[in-house]
Amino acid sequence: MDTTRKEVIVSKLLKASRERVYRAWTDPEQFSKWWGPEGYDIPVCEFDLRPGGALRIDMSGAGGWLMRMDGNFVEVVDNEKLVFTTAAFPDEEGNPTHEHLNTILFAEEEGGTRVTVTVTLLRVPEGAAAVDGLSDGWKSSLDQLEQRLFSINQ
Amino acid sequence: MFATERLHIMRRDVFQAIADPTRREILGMIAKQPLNVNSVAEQFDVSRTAVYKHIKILIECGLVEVEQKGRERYCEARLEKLSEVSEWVEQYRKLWTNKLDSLERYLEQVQQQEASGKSTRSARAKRK
Repeated sequence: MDTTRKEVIVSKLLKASRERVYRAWTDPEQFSKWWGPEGYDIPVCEFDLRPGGALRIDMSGAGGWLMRMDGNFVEVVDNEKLVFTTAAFPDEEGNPTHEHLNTILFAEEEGGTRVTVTVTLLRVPEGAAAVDGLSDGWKSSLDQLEQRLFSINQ
Repeated sequence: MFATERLHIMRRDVFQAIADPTRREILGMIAKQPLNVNSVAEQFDVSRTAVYKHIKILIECGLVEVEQKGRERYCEARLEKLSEVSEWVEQYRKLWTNKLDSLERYLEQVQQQEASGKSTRSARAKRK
């Protein structure tokens, strides 16, 4: 298993015009109204909507919990497509441990607009790949055990 | 991709545990058979205290269990926990499904408000 590059695709048909859905994504004021899970606020939401432009989303929750997310737009096609990177979950030194490339597609479909989100994990925390090796090692010792039991039975 | 409490908590346990090379080495050592705490500590150049600290973190993250056998304390790996790392994709799928559901609710709400606003306006216009 390759944990250094993974992809997640989620898609949904929304009953609204493409322009409206696109605005809900790109207007910081609208975006902050739906983005955070219940009980969370978005005190800072800034989009510089052009290739290379920066984005910043701060999310705050109970007990002073705050999480800042930074990224950059890679591609912006009005009402059609948004591609941006994001980095989050800083480690003790403040360096982000996760990096993603996000592609959001807006397509007109009967009944509304289909939004398709593709998230590519560019970088996951250090050690995640090592874990795979570890799990494999663990599995192979189980395989060995199985083989041994098999030969005993024969 | 983004923050949820769930991912936040997840990072605090397993990901934090495996981020350190010494801790990964400890896990690798005891993955095949349980070892007593002292023999684990002897394998490293760093101080015993430092190794104990790493073991403590691994215990707190649920990746290691320590069992008392007679006078010795044995470390045993609980690698099932590591599947949380492999379930990464599933976590993100859930996260994004929630986000899009939330967007749907937002759009419904806004459009309802607009519709009722329009009908009030047209009712007012009729009265004039």
